[in-house]
Amino acid sequence: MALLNLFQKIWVIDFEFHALAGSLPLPICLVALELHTGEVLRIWADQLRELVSPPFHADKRCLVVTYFGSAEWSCFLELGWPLPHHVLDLYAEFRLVSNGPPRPSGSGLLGALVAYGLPAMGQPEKDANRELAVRGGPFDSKERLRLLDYCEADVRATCALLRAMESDIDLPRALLRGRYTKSVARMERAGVPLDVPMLEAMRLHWERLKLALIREIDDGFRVYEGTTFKAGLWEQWCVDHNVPWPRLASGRLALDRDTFRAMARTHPRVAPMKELRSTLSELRLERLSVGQDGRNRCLLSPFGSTTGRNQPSSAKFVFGPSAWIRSLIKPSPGCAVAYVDWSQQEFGIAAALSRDRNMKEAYRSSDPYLSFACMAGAAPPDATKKSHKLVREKFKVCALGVLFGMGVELMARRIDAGEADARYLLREHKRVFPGFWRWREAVLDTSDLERGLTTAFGWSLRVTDTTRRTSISNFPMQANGAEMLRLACIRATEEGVKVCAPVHDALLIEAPVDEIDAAVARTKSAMRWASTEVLSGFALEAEAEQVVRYPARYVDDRGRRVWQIIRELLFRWGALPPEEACS
Amino acid sequence: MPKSTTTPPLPDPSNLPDPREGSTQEEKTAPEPSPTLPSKTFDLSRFRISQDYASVAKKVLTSVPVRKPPKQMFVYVLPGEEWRADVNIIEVKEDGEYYLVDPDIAPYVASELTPFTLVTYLLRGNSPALWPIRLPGEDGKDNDWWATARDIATRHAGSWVRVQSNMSLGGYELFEAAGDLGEPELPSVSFPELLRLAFAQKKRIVDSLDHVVVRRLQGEV
Repeated sequence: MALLNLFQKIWVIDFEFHALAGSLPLPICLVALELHTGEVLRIWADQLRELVSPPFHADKRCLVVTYFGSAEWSCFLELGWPLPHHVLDLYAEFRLVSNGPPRPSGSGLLGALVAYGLPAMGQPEKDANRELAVRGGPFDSKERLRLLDYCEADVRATCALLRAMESDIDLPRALLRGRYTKSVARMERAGVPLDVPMLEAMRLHWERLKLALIREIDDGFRVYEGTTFKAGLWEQWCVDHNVPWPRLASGRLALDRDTFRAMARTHPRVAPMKELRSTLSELRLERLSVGQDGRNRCLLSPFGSTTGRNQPSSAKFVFGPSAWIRSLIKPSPGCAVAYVDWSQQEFGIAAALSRDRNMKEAYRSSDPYLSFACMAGAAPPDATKKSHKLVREKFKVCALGVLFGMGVELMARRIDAGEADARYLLREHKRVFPGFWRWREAVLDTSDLERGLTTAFGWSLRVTDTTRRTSISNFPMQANGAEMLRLACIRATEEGVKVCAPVHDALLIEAPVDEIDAAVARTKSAMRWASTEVLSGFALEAEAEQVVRYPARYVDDRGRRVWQIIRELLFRWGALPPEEACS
Repeated sequence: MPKSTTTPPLPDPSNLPDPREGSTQEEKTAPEPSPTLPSKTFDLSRFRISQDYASVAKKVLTSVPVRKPPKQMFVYVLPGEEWRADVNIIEVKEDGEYYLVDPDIAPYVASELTPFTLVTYLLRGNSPALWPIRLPGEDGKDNDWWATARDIATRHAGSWVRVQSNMSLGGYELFEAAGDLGEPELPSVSFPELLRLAFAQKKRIVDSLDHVVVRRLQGEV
């Protein structure tokens, strides 16, 4: 095993732990197996807590192997142990080698074992053992033995999986992914500070709030009957307000979340209805995962999507579907939070990777979309966001839509214009950014010839006959964006920034009020560095979109109106103390 | 696989080695993998995989149309004599097709020949095409249609123009692009290759008296 001979010690480890929703994990036991010697350590919770460091070498000569490592590192952090130097997470590697086609048995340890033709514990047996751990202590001696045996069985299964997967592992980059899992543990541990009294008031009055929200927001639409959204009334509202609503092949209105989200962008008056619908249909306040310390914590599910982005549960994560709920984010006393995001990340990645001269120039301007309009001759050189708002919006839709292969029909809908306008925009995009289109064609050719694509640090997509062309052409932007975020998280967390959560192309960080500016500067620097690593020297700038100091709260503009309504209702019902009325 | 250890003693924490204290003798002599592994460093450039897809496929020109510029499209007439040539053509008006005649065959089909200049132009997107423009006949006969076309292809080569026929003028009129339509990309192949793709590829070179066009004109087929 060439890979494994690189290391003096290879410890394959697994913890069993107990964790209430939103709370930090309580380690129950640890089993560690050293691959070269066969030495096995089985350690129960009470003895784990006496250790100041892991009971095995985890320095730079050693490799620590896990399946879904962020859970293990959360236990390390809870125990106050230093994190291992080299980490290999077979979950990330299995997601990677099987990325593209469906995984018939899922991406858990059992699924990976089945995929490699290895014997696996039955799911019911695994579930029963997991339930025992989830139940929490106290455990009698039989239960202790059972949990230790279960934990050891997983460790041995992971050993077998490591040997089976070895030839599929691209080590240097696998260790980089492993390094990210340590950052994930740090971020999950940090969590997002929430305004708990407000959340509790909302939970207490939730059913009443929902009805009141319908009354308040639907007053401007009149499309609800009771609590039921009526498609016919919505169609009439769209006709009356000249909003060309997309339809399904069947002729019925498309009423899915993505359509509402897209239409709300081009028709801002639709936005309150989009917020209302997502609030009523998708938001389960009781599922928002909040620990006893008032912080939102959930699995960030690294590598969860095809592009390698994190995929946390939208119900448990505060950055879920409804923008207004983000106003629950409130720094604790003496602290501040900042939301730092990359400027036009996907456009910048496309410019850098395609090396299109004009696209790079547009990205480096203060406003890429307006620059595009100017380059196309649709706006004068001295145009501003204010003077050419509508033109800019159309060119923005085109510049972003092209990245995921948006066609004429959809673009026409998004810009609220005819297909001739959309064709004109696409033609101009091809003319102004010819290098991008050549590169895009080459990406599609590569995916055809090599049946796959790979990012700058090795995240790959296996292309099959059913993979959509739009997904393929968008993959370099999304998946390299994910790489960039991972690197930024690694650097920021290793340099001591308290990252509360990664959010698509942004980081939410927290620091004491008098240190927040320095933390923002370090985060921006980490994000800039990450972009130059992924894009071979091309820098994407990051900006602190919001810096919120206690007692202020975070506000997402898209959810501002709904938030105000909720706060006013709660105040009116006496569910909030008077001082909340102005926060 | 290592042997199972079914009844392991619980380790005494005080006897466990502290990894931060250094290594055993055996460990000191073994190689250190970390210099080649990205676990502490922030210099990741050597682990980066190239994102250059350009060399995977090369665009191959497979066909070149022979026609006057479309009236609603801006075209770029390539300047330079290397992108044009005077030739003898048999024009089959019924089909709207042009046949290039081999000079060796020309004397035998002289009555069917028409002199043309073939001028290379680019469509938006840089696809090349050939514009067949009539030259005056041996008798010197010319007309405004031909003359205005030749004038445009000569004096306005090197810029983006739109060419449209104007029946009342009896000739072509020209529209110059008001905006900057950008620099064109020269074809990746030479003019002779463009001729081959436009004519030889489509069996439109009359190089023998058995050619179907000659036989057709002679009423044989």
